[in-house]
Amino acid sequence: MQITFELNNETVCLDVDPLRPLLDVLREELGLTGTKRGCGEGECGACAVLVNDRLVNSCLLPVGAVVHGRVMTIEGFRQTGAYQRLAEAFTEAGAVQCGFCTPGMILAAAALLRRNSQPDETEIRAALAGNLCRCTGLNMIVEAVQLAARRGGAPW
Amino acid sequence: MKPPEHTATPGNDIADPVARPDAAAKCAGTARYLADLAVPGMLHARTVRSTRPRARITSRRLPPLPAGFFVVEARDIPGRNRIRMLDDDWPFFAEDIVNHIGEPILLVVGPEAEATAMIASRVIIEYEDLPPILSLDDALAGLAPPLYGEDNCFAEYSFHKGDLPQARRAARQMVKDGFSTGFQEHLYLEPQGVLAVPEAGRLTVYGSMQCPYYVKKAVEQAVGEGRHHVRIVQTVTGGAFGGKEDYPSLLAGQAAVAALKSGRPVRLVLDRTEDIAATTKRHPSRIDFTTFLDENDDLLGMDVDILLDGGAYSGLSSVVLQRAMFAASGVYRVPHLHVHGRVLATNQVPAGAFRGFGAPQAFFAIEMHLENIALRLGLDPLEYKLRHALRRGDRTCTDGLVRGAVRLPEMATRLCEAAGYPAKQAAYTAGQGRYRRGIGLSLCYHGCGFTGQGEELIQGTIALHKRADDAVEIRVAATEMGQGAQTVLPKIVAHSLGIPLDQIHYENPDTDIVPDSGPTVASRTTMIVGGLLREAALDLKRHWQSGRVMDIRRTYHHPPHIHWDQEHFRGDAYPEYAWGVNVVEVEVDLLTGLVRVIKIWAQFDVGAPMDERTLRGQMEGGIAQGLGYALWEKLEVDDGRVQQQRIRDYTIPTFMDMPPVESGSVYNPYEFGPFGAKGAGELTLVGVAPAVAAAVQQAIGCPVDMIPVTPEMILRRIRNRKHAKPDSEIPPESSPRSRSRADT
Amino acid sequence: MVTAFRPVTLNEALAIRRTHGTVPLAGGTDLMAAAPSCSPGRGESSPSIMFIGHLTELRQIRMEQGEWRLGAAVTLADILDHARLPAPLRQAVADMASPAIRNVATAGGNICNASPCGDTLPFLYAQAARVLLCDSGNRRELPIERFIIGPGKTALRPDELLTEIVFPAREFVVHRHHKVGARRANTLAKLSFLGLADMDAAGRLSDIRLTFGSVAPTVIRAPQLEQRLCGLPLTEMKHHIDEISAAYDGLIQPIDDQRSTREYRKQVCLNLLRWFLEELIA
Repeated sequence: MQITFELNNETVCLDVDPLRPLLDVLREELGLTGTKRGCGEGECGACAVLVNDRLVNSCLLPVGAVVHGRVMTIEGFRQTGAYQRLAEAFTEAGAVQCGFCTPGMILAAAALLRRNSQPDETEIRAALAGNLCRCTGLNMIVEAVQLAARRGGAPW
Repeated sequence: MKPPEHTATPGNDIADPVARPDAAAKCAGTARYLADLAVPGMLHARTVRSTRPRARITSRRLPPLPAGFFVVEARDIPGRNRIRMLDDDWPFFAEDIVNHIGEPILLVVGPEAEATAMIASRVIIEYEDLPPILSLDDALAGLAPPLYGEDNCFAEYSFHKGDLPQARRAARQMVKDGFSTGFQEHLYLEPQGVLAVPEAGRLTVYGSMQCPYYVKKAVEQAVGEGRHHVRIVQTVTGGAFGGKEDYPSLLAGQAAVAALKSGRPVRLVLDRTEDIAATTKRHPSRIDFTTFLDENDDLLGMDVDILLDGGAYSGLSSVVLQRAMFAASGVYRVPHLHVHGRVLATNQVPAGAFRGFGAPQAFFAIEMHLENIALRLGLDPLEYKLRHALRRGDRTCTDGLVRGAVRLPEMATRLCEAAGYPAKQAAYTAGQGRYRRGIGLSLCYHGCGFTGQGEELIQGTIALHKRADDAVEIRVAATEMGQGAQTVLPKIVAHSLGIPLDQIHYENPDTDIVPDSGPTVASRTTMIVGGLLREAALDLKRHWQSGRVMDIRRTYHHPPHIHWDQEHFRGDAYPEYAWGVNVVEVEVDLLTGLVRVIKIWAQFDVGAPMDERTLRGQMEGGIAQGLGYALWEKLEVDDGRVQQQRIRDYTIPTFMDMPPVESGSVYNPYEFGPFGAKGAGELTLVGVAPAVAAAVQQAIGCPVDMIPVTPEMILRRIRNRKHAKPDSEIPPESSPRSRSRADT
Repeated sequence: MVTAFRPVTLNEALAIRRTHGTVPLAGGTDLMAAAPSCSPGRGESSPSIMFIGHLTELRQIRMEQGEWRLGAAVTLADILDHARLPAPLRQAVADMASPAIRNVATAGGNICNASPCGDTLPFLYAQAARVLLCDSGNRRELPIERFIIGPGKTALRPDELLTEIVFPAREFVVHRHHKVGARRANTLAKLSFLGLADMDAAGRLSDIRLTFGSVAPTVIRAPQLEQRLCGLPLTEMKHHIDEISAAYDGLIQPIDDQRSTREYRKQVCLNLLRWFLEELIA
């Protein structure tokens, strides 16, 4: 099936199995390996991307469902000022260890801040609840999001 | 959440946090993990696994293989079909017998991942079942033929201190207690994977791993010693926690053989379900105490029996058992001691290394035991524990000398003040209503570096290479797996040399370049490898000649005062100890048995922090894993099959579950550690479970003698208490009395 | 490669459904998790599928004549964002899965999946929700408890689509929702309980709804037991708690599985029921 969508601000058109998970299309067809595969079952959040500005687990999303949609992966998002803010905050707050969850985590934080630029701690925890991290103990990631929100200044 | 409290590190600016060198690439998604590597002509491998816990393979039937697809199995191994580890029982591929569900039988290899998986699913293996050993109880009953040796025991040891029979005779009271712990899964976010690339006369294996030289030796044994030049390169590793200490050796051997057979690169990446079901776990344990108290209620003697479930292959079990045994009497002075330990073989997923390496099981047990003794005596647990805690100059359980200052009393006092422990401890005992609070405390240590003779056997070697441009390369086999080695080790070198950090380079290890500084395990990287790097850097500094290429090597030897008798387990089991105190407050919903963790306070003595932020990452991360171990991470094996095979079922803490953590460290430098550093990575996990369990025990007024403490167990305990006859009712003031495990 | 349809309108979708009997995919989170790409054979054995998540006809949230009408492809996130929808429904949705799943998973999917642990189902049973089923010529409505037949089984015909979920816009003064899972987010229910109640001016219980999820093949609701409580003065309720609890004890027949035990599930259900009733009195 011919599938057209916007990927990182550019139009892509692919002939793929529409049931193929977006994750596999990104990683294997398009070579965008910043999106990670942690479980393939929507349980860990390492594969999270933004679809129409909302956080989505790309492993559970058949690529046929993003037809005409806007997909943003870490490769696109890292070009933005919002990314710069978040990456600085993640680094300063010690929110990065093994890094496998980090691109998905940053996109989860971005999806939150886009809807709520001054979230409280409970809102941050709820927004990141589907993104697992096994290294940091999670609180330092919460602090990173708080730090980014406090500094603001980015068009989330 | 407060920033980490850090006290008194005079003039120790190495502790000031620096930006992680690997953070930028990890944030941006440009860090290349194993599954992100694709090389031209690469083939994909998929494992066909045993579906039986113990059976003889009678036949295997392959579906028609399209061109370019082939299988790899035991008979394809040109070298020895044994993973080189401590023992010699674990095959890369099952031969005629399978010993656990999930055991690899063969690989299907081919050019497309999905087709490979499909073919693998159609391989039919026929079995003749053999009588399995499905649990520790089965192993103890001894009805099935042994799985290992004559006695089905991977390792059995005992050691003595003092004269326990005499203590038994002299004792005024005897207290018995028994505890058990479950499996724990590492659940590193990056699944295991390797990529083997054959070149003329040379074989390179890339992989997510902790121990490149373990992998090198395993691969050499698989492909035949001396036949190929084997090179191992660690790729960016997405978490490990001990889970990538042993198992990558198996995967690398398999992929290497497949690469040799095909002459093409072969990538083997596990699915999450395979990774949970087939890779190693933390050893389940049963630990029993018979403790003797003197006329002052003080600890006089202790008889400890430790039983570990090793699963199907020996792996690292014997050393895990040793570490558990050396933690058996905890941080306490016990004049007369006997410790006996065994690891039994069962037809279950093999147990292996996991952060803490036997110590978390032992500390759960000893800390709950001391808690119970104190409560039974009507004494405050903290006071009772501190009364018996080791001090400088005391003898450890193996009669080693405690050389460094032990700052547990001030750490505990400070923490208890911060947590309001005494008032809460008093108030929560008489809780009312649906939600009950409890507060628990634990003391622990962790021996830094290898257990017993390990460091002397390994003789870790490091190198510094000074380039002509005066930049300095760190050449060690120590791996960055998230814990911060690439942050900390360069700081040690830069501070020793007195040159800027950006002049220090430290790449992921490549065994063609780095010497064997030993595996990245046992909280040894900062203290042992970092210590060697500091010595080498100081040497380099003395001889520094700008513009010249210089190479320095150093090999580890224990400081001369360390003595160890491996035969009798006597002497200094570790060169030094790191110490910890945890306080945990919980609230239990008596209607549902659900536990909410209100807050955790923790203090650690890791000598001196090499980077405050990295240390805090270890504290917070270790505590979270310890909390999961204590409460949520249930992994059951029924009839040989792992029941929780998906992340949704194996429940590590999420952001919604993690309480605030107030952690800090005290400065207590170790003379032989770099800038005073000791180990930190495992310590932070070790003491969490007993503090949680003690808090839950107080909240529900019923004994907690096993982890994970599930809501199911909590309600069962409460109901059993209600239904118990009055004469067996637990008096409120001395509530948790030892009960047999069977009362669940 | 599997045949896939992507209709532009609901009518087109219904026509495709009639001629091809294809599997409708709205959010797809359950379908994809059940058949991850790594699981062998996905491509071969899959029947054709039809994407319906984008159909605007299925994405409306409306109130009409005192009833809420949720389009089948309304996402769980849409429900959370819609502040006027009943609090117990929004709370049940907030406790489901994770934000990334809620952004994709749909109201209709949670019903058609017919899982014993479907998190919106206790609310829909308590509210006597109906589902609107359409084929290319006809439409019919079924009460939720007649639509869901058993685990994974519904009364949906091969040519039909579930298009709307309908329930009265009726708020209850007292509502208590408990999802009991292994952790506080991103988890499946071991069991769930929803209690809704209203009192009249005279202090009598005027309406009560009690539902239990994950403890039987389908959600448990027993209107005849609820009726026994209706009209009771709250002051008298305490005399009935034991009897009501015993009656539910007979109805709740959970299973042992790797998530929890039969014993635990039943006990917690009864504990929560009793607590809810005792709270009403207090």
